[in-house]
Amino acid sequence: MESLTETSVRLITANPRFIALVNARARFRWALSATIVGLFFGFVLMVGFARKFLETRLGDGPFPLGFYLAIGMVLSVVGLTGIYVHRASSLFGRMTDELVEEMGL
Amino acid sequence: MNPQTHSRLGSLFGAVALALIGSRVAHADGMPSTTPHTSGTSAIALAMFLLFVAATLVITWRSSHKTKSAADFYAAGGGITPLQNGFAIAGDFLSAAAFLGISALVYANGFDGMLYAIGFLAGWPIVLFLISERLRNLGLYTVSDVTSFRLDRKHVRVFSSISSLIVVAFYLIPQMVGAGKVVQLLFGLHYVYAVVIVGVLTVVYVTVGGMQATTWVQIIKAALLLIGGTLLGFSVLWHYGLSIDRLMADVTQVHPKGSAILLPGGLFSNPVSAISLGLALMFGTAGLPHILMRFYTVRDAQGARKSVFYAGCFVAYFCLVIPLIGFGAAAILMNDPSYFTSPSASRTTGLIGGTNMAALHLANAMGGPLFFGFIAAVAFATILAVVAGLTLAAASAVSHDLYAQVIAKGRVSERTEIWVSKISAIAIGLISALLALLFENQNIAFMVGLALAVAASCNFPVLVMSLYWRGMTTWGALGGGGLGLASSVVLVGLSKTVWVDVFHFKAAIFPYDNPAIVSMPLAFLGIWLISSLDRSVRAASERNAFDAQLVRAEIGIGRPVTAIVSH
Repeated sequence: MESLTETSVRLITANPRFIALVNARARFRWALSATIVGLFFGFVLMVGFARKFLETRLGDGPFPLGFYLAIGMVLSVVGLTGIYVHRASSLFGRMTDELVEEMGL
Repeated sequence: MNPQTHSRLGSLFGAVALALIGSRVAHADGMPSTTPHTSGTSAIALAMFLLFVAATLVITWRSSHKTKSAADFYAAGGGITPLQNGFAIAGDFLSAAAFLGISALVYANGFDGMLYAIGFLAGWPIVLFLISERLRNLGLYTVSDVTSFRLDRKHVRVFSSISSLIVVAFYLIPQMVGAGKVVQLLFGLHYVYAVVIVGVLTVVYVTVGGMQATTWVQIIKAALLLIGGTLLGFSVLWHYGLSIDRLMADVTQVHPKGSAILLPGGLFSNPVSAISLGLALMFGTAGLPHILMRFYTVRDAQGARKSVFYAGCFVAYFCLVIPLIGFGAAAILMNDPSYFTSPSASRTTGLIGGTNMAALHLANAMGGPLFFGFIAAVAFATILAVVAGLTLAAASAVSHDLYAQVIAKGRVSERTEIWVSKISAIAIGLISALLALLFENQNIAFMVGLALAVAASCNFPVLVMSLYWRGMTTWGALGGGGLGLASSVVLVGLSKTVWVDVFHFKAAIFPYDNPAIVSMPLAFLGIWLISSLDRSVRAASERNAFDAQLVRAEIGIGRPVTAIVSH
């Protein structure tokens, strides 16, 4: 593999497949990032401002609601990263392969 | 490897062993041991510890056979599998802070400690979504390879090696403190000697084995840590007949905070402080040089992506186990005065060896000397491996970025470059040991929070903007990144941790413990403003080069080949 020439860069960036790949991946990437940032800081703000809510007891269990939300945060991190890796390998991997094949890279 | 090096290793190992055994003998001669609970246990603990050190030295020695080129030294030849790398990344990240620091925070503060753990975890998706793939596609060995893709090589490299060095220094302090404390508790050695031993071992791993050895030490340690943590957590559950209800009932009964231990408490009571810490934890991980460096040890972007996923899963699992250890330690230790410096000592701060040692005491309570020895060896191994990884990252910043690319302008043989990095490793080991003496009694998870704040304020903004914003120019990167770096370091200096606790002034000038809420936005603002005002010819060509960078970042075409030649 060699460095790309200016011409090939122009060709690739003008290719509709490349544009579609970049845009699709950007949408996905920023949406997931916003989700995890929102979840985490939502949780942090709740600790700061909605203490009473986190202290709510669910049934007779030993834990208040905040505890379950904390566990939920851990699971959602695993879930989100899993979704990303799956899609990156399946959809974006395929789009990249198609692009590389079409352009003979 | 030649026989000479072999024997050098052997004699060093022997010297360390002698130093440790010597210290035991000194205690047996009548010096009062500072650790009454561990006096009968140290032989086993010592054996465990030496076993690990011996095993890792063998690995280092074996892998030094394979370390021939710079690619081998910095990036293990690109031949590590994603699962192995996931272990290694988790190993790098699950430092003393995670195991000892967070379990101590849960022990003392309950729910608030769990928030810390979640903050550490929340950084992983950011690394995966924004950084890992593009970094792998663009770079060779270090982060500066990426930022200098379209920016001015020389300036950017100087800046990012300096910022990497500062982040690593901040991050090394808590690791060394943790290691020093473990050895002090375990062998009754003086804290200073303990820190020196860690320093020496680190330098050996890094200078002899490079990335190959560091990676393997990291993988083994991560596995040990996961096993040790699981055993410890499970032993607590077993003790309470697998009933979390009974465990928590005991915790709320014996803990000074009572049932408030299950609720958000003082640690995050100020929302501004909490957000500041949150920013540091979430975005700091994406700016840690020793973590980012690991993406170059796998073959391609897919490998980088998968390794982050595996690493995230390991860290997540650990986040669930750690609270169990912290609460278990509270429930079981707080009833037993013999674990405290005096029977009337504070139950949250009066543990022998400090609160950071809660997990170790718990191991002793649950499984006696053998288990104590095992967990202590794991904790020590953890720290040693992290310190080695950090030292390697810092050494690469000096040798690959500062020396080879800037000072020698690329005209340097790989041999010389590796040699410079070994010298740097020795210097860094020395400096970090000195710093560790200054910060002996800080909570180590908290200290890592500060390191992450610095990373989130200089490395992360520069990296993310250079990857995603066409408009960024060299001046923007230097100005904004410099602003973030300077403000975060200065604000740490003016906060309670340094201003009051180290320099003993009366009141802190900066009211929040963590600087990220000020310094991180400052960095982004600086990058944006200065880049936008930059009308130079160079700036125009840097913006034009974004397309070429984008193509390579997205599809990996035109990636440098050196890092993937082997295999």
